[in-house]
Amino acid sequence: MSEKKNLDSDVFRANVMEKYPPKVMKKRGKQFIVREESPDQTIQANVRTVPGIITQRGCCYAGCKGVVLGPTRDIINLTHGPIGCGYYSWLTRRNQTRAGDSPDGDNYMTYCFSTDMQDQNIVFGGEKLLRQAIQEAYDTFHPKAIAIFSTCPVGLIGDDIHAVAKEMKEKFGDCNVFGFSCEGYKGVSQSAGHHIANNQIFKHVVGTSEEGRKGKYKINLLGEYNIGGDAFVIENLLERCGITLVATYSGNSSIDHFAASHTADLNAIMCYRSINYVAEMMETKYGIPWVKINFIGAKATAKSLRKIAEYFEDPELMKRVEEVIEEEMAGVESVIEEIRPRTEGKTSMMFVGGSRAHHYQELFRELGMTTIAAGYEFGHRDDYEGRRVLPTIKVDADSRNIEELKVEADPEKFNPRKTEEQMAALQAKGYEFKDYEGMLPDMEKGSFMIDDISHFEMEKLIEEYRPSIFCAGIKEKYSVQKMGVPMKQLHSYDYGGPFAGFAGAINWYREIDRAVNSKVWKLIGAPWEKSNTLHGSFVNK
Amino acid sequence: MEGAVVNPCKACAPLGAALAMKGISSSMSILHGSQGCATYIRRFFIGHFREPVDIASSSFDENTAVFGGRENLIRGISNIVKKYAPEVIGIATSCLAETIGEDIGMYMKELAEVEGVTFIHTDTAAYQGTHINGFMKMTAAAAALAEKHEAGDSADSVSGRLRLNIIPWMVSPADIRALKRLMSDMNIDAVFLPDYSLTLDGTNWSDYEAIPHGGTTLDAIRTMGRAHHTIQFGPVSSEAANPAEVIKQKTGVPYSVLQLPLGLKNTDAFFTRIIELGSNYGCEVKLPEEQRETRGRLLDAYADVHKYLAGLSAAVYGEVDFMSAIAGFLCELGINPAVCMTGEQLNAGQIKNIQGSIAHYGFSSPQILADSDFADLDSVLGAEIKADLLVGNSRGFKSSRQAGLPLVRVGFPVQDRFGGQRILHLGYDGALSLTDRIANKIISEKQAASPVGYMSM
Ligand code: SF4
Ligand code: SF4
Repeated sequence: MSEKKNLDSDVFRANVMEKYPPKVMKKRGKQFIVREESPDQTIQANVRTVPGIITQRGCCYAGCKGVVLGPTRDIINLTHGPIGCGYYSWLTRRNQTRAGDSPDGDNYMTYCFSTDMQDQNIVFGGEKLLRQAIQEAYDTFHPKAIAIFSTCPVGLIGDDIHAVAKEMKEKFGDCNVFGFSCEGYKGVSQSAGHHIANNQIFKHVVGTSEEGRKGKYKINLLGEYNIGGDAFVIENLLERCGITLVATYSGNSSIDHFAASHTADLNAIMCYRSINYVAEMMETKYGIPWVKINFIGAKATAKSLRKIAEYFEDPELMKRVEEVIEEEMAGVESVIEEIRPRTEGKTSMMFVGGSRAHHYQELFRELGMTTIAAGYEFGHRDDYEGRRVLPTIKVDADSRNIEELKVEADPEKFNPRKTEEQMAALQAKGYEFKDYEGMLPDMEKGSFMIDDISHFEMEKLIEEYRPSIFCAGIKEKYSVQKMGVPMKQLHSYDYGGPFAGFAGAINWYREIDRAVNSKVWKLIGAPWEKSNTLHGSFVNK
Repeated sequence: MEGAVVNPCKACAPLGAALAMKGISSSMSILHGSQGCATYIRRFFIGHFREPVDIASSSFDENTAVFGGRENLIRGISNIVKKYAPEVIGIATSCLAETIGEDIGMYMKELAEVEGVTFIHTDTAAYQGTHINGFMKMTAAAAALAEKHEAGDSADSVSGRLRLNIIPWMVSPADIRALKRLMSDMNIDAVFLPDYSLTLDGTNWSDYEAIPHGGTTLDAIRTMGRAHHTIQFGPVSSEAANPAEVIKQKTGVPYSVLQLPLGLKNTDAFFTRIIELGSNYGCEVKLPEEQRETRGRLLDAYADVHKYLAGLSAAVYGEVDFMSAIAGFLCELGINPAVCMTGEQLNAGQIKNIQGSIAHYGFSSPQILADSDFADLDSVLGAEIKADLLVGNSRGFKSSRQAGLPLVRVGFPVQDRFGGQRILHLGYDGALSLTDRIANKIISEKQAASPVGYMSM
C-alpha cells in the first residue's frame, strides 16, 4: 500500500474507535491495529468480547462439539442440556466423511442427540436423564463411543457428567463413554472448547489401540476438518507420494484412527489454533515431533509436501514428492496464467477462524491480490505474532479455568522418533520444528489486523475500503452482499470446495475470478432511476 | 424415546423472542446469558432468511454465571445504544440466566433511565417452552405497550373503517406482506405485531443501515388500544402466552383467536370473521373481487389435482398450530395426514381437538406424536404408517431421505433451499401455490421413475 493509504488507515481506525465508550475504546484499540514496519508489533487477542458488541464468536461448547469431535463419524455426540444448543449445532458444518472407509460403516454425523432438559431436571439435577439417554443411544445404535457435552446450565446445577460417563462405560464394556465439561461460558470463544476437546481425546482415546495403518512414512494430519472435501484432496496427494496417513484430526476421521494415532512418526499441523495441544502432548508422551504445514495455496502445498519428505530424510520419498509436485504445478500454472490478468491488483478482507484468515492469503497472492484487512474470530496472540510470543502471553481468568493436562513420557510407548542429534542436524540445515510465524509477517504495511471484529467495525471497513471480495461466515454474508461486495464463506465454502492442495487451488482461482468479476453488481441501479449510485453515505439512525 | 431426543423438531424460546423483536421498528435484541446462544440463533435465522440478523449478548463469563449478570447487561445495553441508537431494545433470557435466577424485571427501573429507549423483556428459558412460546411471550411483552384509547381521540374521526390488530403468529415475511395487502384492499386499518416482512426480507441497500428499516413502530403499537378488535392466529400457542389478552387487559380491545388462515376452510373462516366484525362495528368490509376469484381458482385447482393426490398419505410436523393447519389443508387435497409430529408438549384435550378437526374432513384420526422428535417419526414411518410424502420444514430432510419419500418444504426453517422467507402459505393465494407445489412434487417423482418420461399429463 502507498504511504498515503497508510495515513488513511490510522485516521479510519481513529474514527471507528471514537464510536465506542472510552473503556471499550481502550480495549478494542488493542485488538484493532494498523500494520506498521516494526516486526515486534503486538495485538491483543483471546480476550472476552465486550457485552453488547455483536461478535462472530460462538461458545466453548460450539468449539468442543462442532470442531474436533463433530467431523468424526463413529462417535455419538450427545448434548447434555436444553434443546437449543444441540438443535442449532445439528449438521451445520460441511465436514465430509466416507463412512464406507470404516469396516462397520457407522456414521452418526447426521444425527442430533440431546437430553432436552426440562424444568424439573434443572431443579432436581439431570444425571438420571443423562444416564437414560446414554443407555438409549447405546441400545439403539451400539456405537463404539459416546461423547457427552455439557452446556451452560449443566455446569451450574452441578451434574457430574464424568462420573456418569465412567459408570456407563464400565457397565457397557464395549463402548467408550467420556464427557466434556465445555459449558459455553468457559473461555472466551470456541477456542476454549478446542482445548477441552484436545485434552479429553488425548486422555480417553489416543494410545488405546495399536491397530493403526502401516507404512514406511506414517504421519497424522492435525487441524484439517474436511470442509468441502479438502481432506480427500490431501489424502490423495499423500497417497500418491507414498505417505501413510494414520489419523486426521478431524476430517473423514474415525475414533479408531485417533486411538492408534500415537503410532505415526510425524504430526503435521494445518490449523495450529485448534489442535496444537494434542501435538504437544503427543510429543511429550510418545516422542512424535510436530511441524506446521499448510495445504492452502499451490506453493504452500508444494512446500508442505517437501517439508514432510525432508523429515523422513529419504531420497526416494523426496523424489516421489518432486514428481507429484511437478505433475500438479503444470495445471496450476496454466490456470493462473489465464485468470491472473483479471484478478491482479484486487483486494480481499478475511475475518474467520483461527488459521484460515492467514492460510487463504496464499491463494489470493497467487492471483495477484492483496489482503488489506484480516483477523481471527477465535485466534490467540501466537496466531498473529508467531510462537515466539508464547512466553509473554498473560494467562487471564478466562484461560485459567481450562485444564492443562500434566503429560509425561509414557513408560512403555515413549519412543523418540528422532534422536536429539538427528533433530539438531536437521535444524542446522534450516529445518524447523514447532514453527509458526503467525499472520503478522505476511501483512503489508498499512493493512489492518483486527481480532474478534465486531459487526459494526466490519460494516465500516467495507464501506470505507470496498474490497473486491470479503471472506467470513454466513453471519456476515448477507450484510456484505447488501453493501454490494462479493462475499465468500470460509467456514462452509457456500457448498463449494475443495480448496486444499493443487486441485483445490484451481477451484479457488476459478471461484474468485467469478466472484470478483461478477456482473450482477452492475445491475443494481434501475435505468428509470436518476441516482443509482450504490455507495451512499453512512446513516446512523 | 424417554431420555434422549434424537433429531429434534423444536428450537429454543429465545429464538422466538428474537424473531418477534425483528418485527418492531428500530429495535435491537439482547440475549441475556452466554454469547454462544446469541451466535447460534443469529446463524440459524440467517440460514433461513438470508438477511443480516444482529442479536447482542450480555456475554456471561464464569464469574457472571456465579455472581449474576446485572453489570454485563447494563454494559451491553450501553454499547448497543452508543453504536446502534435503537428506539426499542428487547431483552430475552437464555437458560443460563434463568438457571441462576436472573430477574430482568428488577433491572427495569435502572434501565428506565436510559434516554430515548423503550425496553421490552420476557423470560425465555428453553427448558420451559419452545421457540413458538418465546415468540408469543415477546410479542405479548411488546403488546403491553398498547395504550388505552380515550374517547374523543382523533382515531374516532376516521369513521367507517374497521380497525384491527393482527397478531399473525410466526408466519413468513411473504405471508405478512400478503395479509397487509389484503387489509388495505379491504379498507381496514390494521396494526401487525410483529411485522418483519421488510426487516427479514429486505432489498439491497443503497445506504448502509445500522438497523434495517421496517417493522411496526412504537407509535403504532401504542395505538393498538384504538382498534375495534384483535385477531390472533394460533390457538394452541395462544394458550401458553396470549398477546391479544394482554392488549385486552390493558385497553379493553376484545379479540378472536383463529386458526392460521391456511387452506380453504381456514381462510374462509378468517374472512367470515372479518366481515362479521365489520358489520358488528358498523364498518363496511367487503371481500375484494380478486379474492373471490382466487377462491374460485383454488377450488378449480383442487379439482384438477384431486385425481393425482387423493388417497395419498402424508407425514406432517412442526409447531402444533402450523402442523394442524397444514394437516387440514392436506385433507382438502384428499391427502390423509396419517401422522402429525411436533416437538411441543400437548395435553389430551389439545390432541383431541386436532384429531377432531381432521375427522371433520372425513379422515380417520391421525396418529399424533406430541413431545416427539424425528427419530420417533422415522420409527412410525418404518413400521405402522405408510406415507407418500412429508410436509414440513427442512429439518425433516434426514427423515425423508431415510424413508425414501419426497419432502415438500414449508414453514420454518427452510435452510437448504432458497426462498424460505418468501414461501406464501396463507390465504387462497397461499393455498393455491402450496397445491401446485405438492402436486408437482408427486408428479415429478412419478415422471422421473417412469421409463418413458411422459411430457404431458
Ligand atoms: S442454553 Fe438455552 S437459550 Fe441457549 S441455545 Fe441452549 S437452549 Fe437455547
Ligand atoms: S447455553 Fe452455553 S453451551 Fe449452549 S449455546 Fe449457549 S453459550 Fe453455548
